[in-house]
Amino acid sequence: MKQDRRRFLGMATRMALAAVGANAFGVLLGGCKTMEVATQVGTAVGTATGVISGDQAESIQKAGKAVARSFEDFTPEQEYTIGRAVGAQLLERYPPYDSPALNTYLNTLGQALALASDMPETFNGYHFLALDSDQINAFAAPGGMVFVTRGLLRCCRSEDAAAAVLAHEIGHVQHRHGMQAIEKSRITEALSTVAAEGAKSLGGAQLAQLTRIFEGTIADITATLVNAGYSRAFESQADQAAVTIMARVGYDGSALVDMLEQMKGRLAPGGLDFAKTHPSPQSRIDEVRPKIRPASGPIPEIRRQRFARVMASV
Amino acid sequence: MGLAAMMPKKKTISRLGLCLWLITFWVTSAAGAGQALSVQVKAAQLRNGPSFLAPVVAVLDYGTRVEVVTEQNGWTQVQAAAGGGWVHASALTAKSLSLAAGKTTAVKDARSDELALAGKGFNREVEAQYRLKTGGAGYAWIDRMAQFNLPAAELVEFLKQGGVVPPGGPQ
Repeated sequence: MKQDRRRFLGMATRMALAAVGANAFGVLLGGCKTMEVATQVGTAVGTATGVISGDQAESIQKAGKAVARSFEDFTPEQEYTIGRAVGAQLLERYPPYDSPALNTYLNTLGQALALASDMPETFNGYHFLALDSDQINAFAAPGGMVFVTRGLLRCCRSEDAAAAVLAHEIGHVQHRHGMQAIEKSRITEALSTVAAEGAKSLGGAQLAQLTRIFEGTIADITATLVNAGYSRAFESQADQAAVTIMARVGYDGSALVDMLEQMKGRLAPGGLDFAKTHPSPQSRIDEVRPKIRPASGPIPEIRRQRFARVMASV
Repeated sequence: MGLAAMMPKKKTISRLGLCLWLITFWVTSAAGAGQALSVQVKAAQLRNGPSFLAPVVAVLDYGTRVEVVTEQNGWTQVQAAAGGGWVHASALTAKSLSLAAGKTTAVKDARSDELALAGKGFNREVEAQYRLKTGGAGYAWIDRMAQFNLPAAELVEFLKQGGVVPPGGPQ
């Protein structure tokens, strides 16, 4: 709720700024024009000449600077490309668990939850995959690729608990936490250096440099997901999102607490999984419990049964 | 905080939010109805009502420009070249995506200008280079994963069969 309010206030502030400062709008439009000039220049160069005037080079550099700010300057398509690479990296560390029944179940549950999130639409949608690992862990790559280990699924004693796990990861995607793990200097480098470089030598060299920066970007995010973990504030945001999504859909939010209790009992102290990259389950329970709506009744038998069927392979 | 305490507050906030939105729209007169937005997802479904269950009337590609008619509960009614309908607000952006990576795939020999002008083109070509460099073993499953898609009607049926119903009935 606080989150909603903060987001709203931020939005209102931005809108007010736009309203008051027609100048700001002018600057934005100016930025677009610069970009257009750069387009034409780039096109001309790309198609044939390879020669570029000083003015034009300056335009390209300006275009680079104009957009060199934050992770929010990446387009959703680029965010998806980043997410795919992060996912590919994760899959080199954790093998996928090739169980069609389980993966279909996770995608049905996860995509149903995503529809109720604040960001139901991402560039290429939400996709879920089980990982063949006993470690207790889950990862959300930018753009909506979500990975959950068998170890974490075993902490789930109900479909509602599995929903809590997936909704938490959807929360990370929705808040774009992965993208915020990219080093600021890397973003500036990607946007401005490449633009300036482009004026001198377009083509192969630039592509190579951009690929190097891309590699660094993927390493930033993967290191955060696998080694460092997100900040406590991000985990708290994701738990809050999970509770909100579950309430909207009709799952019992207290299943999140149940899952965390199970996790608490199973986590190996000093392990390489959640224990390393997440706040302790108990601190998460203490923080999220007051925000959870009371359960409306017992879980229907049919839901218990389908969950038990799927979990037989986990 | 219990649900009873949460709900009214939320309503107050959203009502206040709506008022402020309206005020700012009047002042700027550039936003809201008539505002031009771009589709920021690969394929946005244009539906004939503000719901994921409403029939799809057209599919709008990434970067397609639409004009806002009105907004309601996170859904935006738009007019596009392909027709009128509703798109979820999260599929739209006020930013111009006309220079974005996806566009240039249709333009021959444009790879260099794309990198220079967007300056940040983490696109398919970069992905291809990256795959070559890293071996790209994980991508086979990423491509499979990207195919895991269930239609909204099936998702709703799944919830219904499991007796998953939000208080106040399905939404």
